[in-house]
Amino acid sequence: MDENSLLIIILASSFSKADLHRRLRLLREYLEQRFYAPEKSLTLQDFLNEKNVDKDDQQIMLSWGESFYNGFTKETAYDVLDHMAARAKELPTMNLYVPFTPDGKEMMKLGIWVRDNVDKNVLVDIHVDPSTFGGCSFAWNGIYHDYSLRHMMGLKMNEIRKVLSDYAAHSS
Amino acid sequence: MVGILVVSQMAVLWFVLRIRRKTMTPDELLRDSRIKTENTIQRAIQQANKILVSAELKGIQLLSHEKVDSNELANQFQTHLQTIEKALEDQLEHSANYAESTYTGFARTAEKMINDHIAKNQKIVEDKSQEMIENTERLFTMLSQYVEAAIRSELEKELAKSKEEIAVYRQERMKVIDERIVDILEDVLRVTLQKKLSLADQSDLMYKALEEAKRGSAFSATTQKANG
Repeated sequence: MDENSLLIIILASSFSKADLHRRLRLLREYLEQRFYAPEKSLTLQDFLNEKNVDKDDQQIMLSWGESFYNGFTKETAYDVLDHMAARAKELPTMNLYVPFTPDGKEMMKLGIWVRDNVDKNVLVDIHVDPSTFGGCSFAWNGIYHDYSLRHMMGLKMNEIRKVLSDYAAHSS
Repeated sequence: MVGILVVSQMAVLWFVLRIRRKTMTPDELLRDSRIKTENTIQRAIQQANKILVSAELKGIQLLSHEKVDSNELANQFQTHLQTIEKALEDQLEHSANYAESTYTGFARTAEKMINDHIAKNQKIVEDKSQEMIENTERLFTMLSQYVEAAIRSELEKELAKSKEEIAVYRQERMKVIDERIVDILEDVLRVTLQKKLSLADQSDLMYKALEEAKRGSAFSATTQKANG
């Protein structure tokens, strides 16, 4: 399995920049343990448990399969990992501002939607921002887009003012 | 009468003494004269005593007569006194009656005068009081009108001021609302919906926003300006 295929497998289940970097780091640690500390002979599951990795990451990293991990050798592992990290930095990134922290399941759903509708290789960089209440905002291609409720209300400012003015006129 | 007798006795004695003085010696004459003098004196004393007695008698007699006259006089005086007393009583009674009638008249006149004076004073007091009351009423009316006008003016000013303040307040509030309408609505919605919005709700709103962005071509490669 070549380097590109390995990255595609990782990207297929890693939609956020944070997830990708965290999993690449875990993968590097696991491979180091596997190649440079064979005496411990920890399985992936044991390793993930030892590192107290959360369930979502465990599930995803286990889903990559043995063939994925066999694609790394002691001689190529660092180079492949470095290349993958470099490639990851080149991937298009959408900075998404949301008022909540998506869990693993929600992140996957969001990632799929973004890759279906924005770019098939895009990574989402999640930023929790309460001011985006009732929607979200994002920066894409260097342009900030505000689709928060606040922004939407701002767009409807004249209509809202008219409603208030009419109300004030009726109540005075 | 007693005086005449004494003078005549003294004249006889003087004549006898002139005759004897012409025939006797000085001593004899002196002695004789002394004797005669003593006799004469004695007789004179006796005569004087007689005269005195007689005079006393006469006096008593006269006094007796005088007493009788005095009684009459007293009676007359009594009668006269009674007359005078009667006259005085009459006069006094007359005077008393006159005084009484005069006093009564005076009292009536005084009473009438006093009554007239009182009535006059009362009339004056009533007139003055009425005038004072009318003046006071007029003053009170003027004061009342003045106070009413002043209060009305103040109230109108206060009302206008309050209306102006309310208008300014409303304008300020509307300005604040207008300026911060989005913040207010956002806060209202946040307070209202925060606890009611589940993660799934917020996720739905996020996808709606993303769909809106997609419809607005926010994800197209050529998009160069912010949408929304």
